[in-house]
Amino acid sequence: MIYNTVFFLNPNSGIPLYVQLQQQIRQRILSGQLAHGAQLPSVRELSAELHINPLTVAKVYQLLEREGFVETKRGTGTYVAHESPGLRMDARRAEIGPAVEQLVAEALHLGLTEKDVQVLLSEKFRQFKSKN
Amino acid sequence: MSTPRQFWTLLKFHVSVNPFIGFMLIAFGVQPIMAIFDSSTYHSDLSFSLFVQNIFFVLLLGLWILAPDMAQQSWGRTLSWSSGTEFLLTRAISRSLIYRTRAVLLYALVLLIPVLSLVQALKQPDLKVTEFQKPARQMCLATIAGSVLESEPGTGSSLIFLPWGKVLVGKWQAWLFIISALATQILLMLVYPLKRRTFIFYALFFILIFGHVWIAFLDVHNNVVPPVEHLFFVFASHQMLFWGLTVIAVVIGQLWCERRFAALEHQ
Amino acid sequence: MIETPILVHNVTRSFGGPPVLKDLNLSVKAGSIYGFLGRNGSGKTTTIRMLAGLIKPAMGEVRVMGLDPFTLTAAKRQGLGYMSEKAGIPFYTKIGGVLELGRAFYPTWDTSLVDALLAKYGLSQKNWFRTLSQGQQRLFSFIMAIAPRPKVLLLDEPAANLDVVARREILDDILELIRERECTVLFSTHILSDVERVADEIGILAQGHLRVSESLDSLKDSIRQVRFFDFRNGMPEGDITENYRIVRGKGEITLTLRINADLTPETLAQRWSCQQETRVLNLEDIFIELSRN
Repeated sequence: MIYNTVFFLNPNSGIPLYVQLQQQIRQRILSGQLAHGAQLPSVRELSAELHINPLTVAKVYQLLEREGFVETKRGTGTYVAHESPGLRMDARRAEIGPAVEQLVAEALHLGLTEKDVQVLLSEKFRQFKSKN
Repeated sequence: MSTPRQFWTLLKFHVSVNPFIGFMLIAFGVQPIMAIFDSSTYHSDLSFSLFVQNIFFVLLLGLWILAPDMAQQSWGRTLSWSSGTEFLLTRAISRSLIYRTRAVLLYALVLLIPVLSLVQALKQPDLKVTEFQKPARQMCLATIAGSVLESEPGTGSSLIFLPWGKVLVGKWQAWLFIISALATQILLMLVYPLKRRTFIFYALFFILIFGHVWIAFLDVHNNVVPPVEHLFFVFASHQMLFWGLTVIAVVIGQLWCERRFAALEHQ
Repeated sequence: MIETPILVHNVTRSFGGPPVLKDLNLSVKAGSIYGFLGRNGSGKTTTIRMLAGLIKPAMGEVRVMGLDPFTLTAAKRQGLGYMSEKAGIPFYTKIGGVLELGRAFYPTWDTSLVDALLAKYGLSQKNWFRTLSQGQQRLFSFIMAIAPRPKVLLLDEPAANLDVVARREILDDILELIRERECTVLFSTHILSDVERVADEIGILAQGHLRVSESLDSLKDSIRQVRFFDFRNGMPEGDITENYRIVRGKGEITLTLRINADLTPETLAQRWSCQQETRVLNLEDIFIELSRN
């Protein structure tokens, strides 16, 4: 059971609140912070904790359910969905999608080729792995 | 229909809008209250007895109680002072009731002074007045029951004795106050939606005051009865009729004003 | 249950000059919190006062809970809560006296809520209204608006004159109200961060009508500021595409526009043979872009 999940939302950013919350919940599920089968706070509780409109939370739960990350059981609440490997992989790929798009667009803008970018990527992966 | 509790709570609220009404009341009530303790035997002129110099305060009182937003405008834009009218209009309170409670407050305050005068009159109900103009004297003796001419040494036969005269004059004053209040109500509701309403109201106010004073002391020929006295005599001899018509007029006027109040915008 | 408890249809209104509201159309869905934005003098207060039943439209119609708010009976007006820009309560009243007025006229008056809020905001029944600070006066008028648990709540600048903490508390109270019961809220404000936190629908009033009126999420999702530069075939002239704002600079054009599946910065850049740089806008940016002429 998770009661006190803390999310950091910035209402003043250009990214809608629901997108921010959706991303953060997704990330925590994918990284394992929210275990499968764990219960998420109710719409009312979470919206009260975050001081935001309950409709926003309801929308996020709906979207996550459609993506397959959570499931709502009538009367009891919303739970993290059980493991589904294929979904997981797709979801992760989708998650990193925007970052990749930005990288490619920037590279093209600067006149770098695919090869150049691959070299940079390999270097970066090596750096991170060696840190750990 | 409203409950008694609703009525009284609302009435109390209206009082709180401008507690200085109390001061106004005292300021204008001083004279008749003093008269209660006055036991001089000075015999005033009939015209003077009939003249009610405090009538203009009915207009002011009416303005402050029935249309406080209008009154406020004249004092410059006092940003924080509020009449509470907008607040009341946006609550679940029938608009007729808002107006009705205000009208009740107005009449209660307005009648306070004539009622006091009447109470005072009961102490010594007979009245002696001087009336130098013959036509007026004759009409007086003809219309007012029990009136007799008394001779006073030095002034000749121009002193009239009116039994229960003070009470009669008191009733006359009360009637004048009621008519003034009604006229104020109607005037305010007519003027309310106009743009320069406060200016118009005060202009009319000053015209009425000066006109009123002027008429009361009109230098009339000896052949004609002064208008105020004439009206008084008619009043004295047809009291039931006058009161009956007045009650009807007040009721109709009140209902009309309530309707209009509910239909007017509050800008 | 009325689908659109707040409805403004083709409303025009002037005050002896150019019209303040011109063909205004606004509708708020049941259960929604609508953030009503606009510059000073744009007509927000006029609209709200029309919805509260204080003034009438010159043309068009206004409907609250399906009825004309100007002619609401006392019974029907119980479902409508209103908080004005100014507190609007006479100075020489005691708070207790005003509350008594509420209790007398509203069968649905929630005394426990009132007590809780009085304690939270530090107000006492014995206070004379004139001894309260401006912020406290507004908090009290807020209490008077929500105590009868209305179905529709109109708030004109509820957070004005409030310090940061009080503002957050009032927003929380509004949210709590809609969490508990079905309630539709319309509030006008200058404080955009409040709107972003709490509102699900937004309307921006400018030049007498709503330039946008939609969910905050879709607004943020679809409005972008795009800078087009590096034109290889010369800059396009005239009315190039539908936009909210266009700024032409030296060799560059900056557009504030609404994107959709067919119209994206990339397709426009292709069309005009140029580069593009897209910026996501927060509500403040959007508001400024849409409120300038």
